[in-house]
Amino acid sequence: MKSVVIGGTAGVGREIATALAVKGHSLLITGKDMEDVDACTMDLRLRYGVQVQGLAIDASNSTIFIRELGAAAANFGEINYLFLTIGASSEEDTGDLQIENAIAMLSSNFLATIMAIQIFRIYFSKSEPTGVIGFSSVAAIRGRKKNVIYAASKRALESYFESLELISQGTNLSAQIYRLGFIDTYQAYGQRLPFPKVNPKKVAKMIIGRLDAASGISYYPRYWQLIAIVVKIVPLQIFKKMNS
Amino acid sequence: MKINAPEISIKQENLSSFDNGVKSTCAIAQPDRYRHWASTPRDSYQISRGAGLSLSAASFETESLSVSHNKFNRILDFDSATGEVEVEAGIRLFSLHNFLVANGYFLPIQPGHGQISIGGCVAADIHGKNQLKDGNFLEQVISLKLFHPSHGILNLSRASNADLFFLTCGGYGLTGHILSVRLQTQVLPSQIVVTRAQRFPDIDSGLQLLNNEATKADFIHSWHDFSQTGKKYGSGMVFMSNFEAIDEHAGSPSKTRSVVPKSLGNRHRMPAANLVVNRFSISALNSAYKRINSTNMKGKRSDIADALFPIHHLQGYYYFLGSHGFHEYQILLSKDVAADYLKQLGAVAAELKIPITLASGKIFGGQQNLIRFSGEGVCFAVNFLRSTQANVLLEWLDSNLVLFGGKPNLIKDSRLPRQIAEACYPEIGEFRMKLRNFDSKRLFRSQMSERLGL
Ligand SMILES: Cc1cc2nc3c(=O)[nH]c(=O)nc-3n(C[C@H](O)[C@H](O)[C@H](O)COP(=O)(O)OP(=O)(O)OC[C@H]3O[C@@H](n4cnc5c(N)ncnc54)[C@H](O)[C@@H]3O)c2cc1C
Repeated sequence: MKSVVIGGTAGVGREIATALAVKGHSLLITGKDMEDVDACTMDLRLRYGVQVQGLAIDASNSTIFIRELGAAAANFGEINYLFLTIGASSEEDTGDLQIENAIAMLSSNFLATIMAIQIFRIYFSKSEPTGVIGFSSVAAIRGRKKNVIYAASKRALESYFESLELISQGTNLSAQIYRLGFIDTYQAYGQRLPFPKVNPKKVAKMIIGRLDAASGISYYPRYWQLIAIVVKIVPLQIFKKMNS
Repeated sequence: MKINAPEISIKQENLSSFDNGVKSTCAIAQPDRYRHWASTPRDSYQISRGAGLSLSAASFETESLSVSHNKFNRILDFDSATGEVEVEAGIRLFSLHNFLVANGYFLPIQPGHGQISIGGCVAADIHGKNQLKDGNFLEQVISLKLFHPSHGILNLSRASNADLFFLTCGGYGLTGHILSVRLQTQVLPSQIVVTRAQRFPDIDSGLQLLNNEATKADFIHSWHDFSQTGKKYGSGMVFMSNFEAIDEHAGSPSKTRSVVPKSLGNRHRMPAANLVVNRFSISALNSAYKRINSTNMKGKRSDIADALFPIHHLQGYYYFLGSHGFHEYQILLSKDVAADYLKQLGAVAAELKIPITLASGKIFGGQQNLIRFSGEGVCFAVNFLRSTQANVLLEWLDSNLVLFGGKPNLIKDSRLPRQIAEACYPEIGEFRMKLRNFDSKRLFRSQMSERLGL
């Protein structure tokens, strides 16, 4: 099996890459910085004896991202699974983010992700199981005052996955997207959050265990599905108060 | 000094030394990308944190930012021909051990628990199972990468930046953040270690036996019963382990065993331990320990991991030392005075009615310098619970240690007074001077470094 993990050097992506290496997958992993990419590729090669290629690319610049990922994809060849664990958020994302920062955020959370899918679509194996696994966030449930562009990008991504599910019908490609709750990553470090943070290892284990599940959107942890229903049906006036 | 680190995620956490002697609320950061190191503060106090398992408060301080290396736990390079391995400093010993053993190698010098980090071993220049034969951790370190906010990333080895290399190995994290370490490992002679135990009737004969056997064993230590009085005081056993001579499994990746120890911490300790831990219960436990280990007499075969990390199976011991905490007093004494000091210790402890929960010895060799716990002599450790009486015993231990010309292990004692460290370590002033020459702002600080005036 061969898999690609976009954003595989930290957080959930790193745990997914490790879990795949344990299963013997050959890997292409990307990360923003070469030092992190090198450290992760060497570690996975040495510990698990699998083939690992690494690529340092920055998803916040979609033009360069597309060019370099395209070349790496051609070099890596046929694949089974594509994991898209990239994303970026900012405390300043409250409605008046500077244009270039807003574009970078859009690129990291949406544009680069869907471009990665476009790039790899021609490389998915025709005979073996294949899948695209994307990551949304509970922030996408409803419009909000914080993480404005982040949440909008994730909602757009969900829409893209819905379409992907439809256009992949009758093929061996599944399109799964996870709305993740609070995960214990660097981004959440030190933050006081209303619900417990989940260990990224646990997230990776769950995702790898469900690779043959049907396409569609899933919540993790599952209780967020309930919270999502509540958040959606809360009248606007109350929701505004909750958001302030 | 206020911690000013706007570019790095920080949280407040209650941290305590493993002996529960020092508890503080501290700021802690946990970077997970290399670029985060550049965001560590340039003008605020900080200190690296490995597994946080030191008995001394060496990786935190109220006004210092503790920077955890937890996410930097990768293997960066391995040469299967030479056994050289390069790792990030946050890697835990068990994790590296599993990798090495699967490739037919191992690290002979390791502390007793696999959850300890490589960074912590370098910084405290720890000793292993037979210091006389193997030396301290420094012997295994080929080179390392150190990050200091004022100096950037520095490559240190015996050939390059040698002074700083020696200041960092055994420098208790005060020269900067060790990012990665290149280590010389050894060919694993066998997956199996055979342990024999030999009894001795008293402290003198115990230390004699330990000394006689130390050159022959791969791993060796003595265990003593300090709950006995009179002639039997300090009776016990010397445990001697050697690699099994012929082992067709050696170096075969498929036959090796991986270890994943339970996490070790100081949160779950028995409340009111002093009601349970007394001379009678310790005496009963010691007798049971002797009986259980009598099977060892003829030679017990065990996996290398069990021999290197014996505390994995004994960590329940720390639970019984209680939430109020305990003391570990580990010292290095010259061979000709060790027995005398230990006998007097027993008399004072008995008078103060302080049960010694553990007493164990090792033989050390080599040179001592700077503030490393090394040099020639008998290394001896005792444990006892924290109490007002214990403070009286500690005062006796400290002042007599100076009189007997011994050395305390700085990383194992969360309260050791500065003047005792100064009296016992003649090169402490040189250490201070070298540290200030390298880092005039003295950015790296821990509760331990502040207490000892480093
Ligand atoms: C159960 C147990 C058994 C032990 N057995 C032994 C033994 O047999 N022999 C022995 O000598 N010791 C032994 N020790 C002591 C232990 O080995 C040391 O205290 C060691 O330093 C702990 O490492 P740590 O990863 O927990 O580091 P921490 O406690 O987090 O830190 C210890 C010191 O290392 C520094 N440090 C840690 N990581 C880095 C880094 N990356 N860069 C720079 N500095 C760093 C810290 O600043 C601090 O000064 C034992 C301790 C326990 C709890």
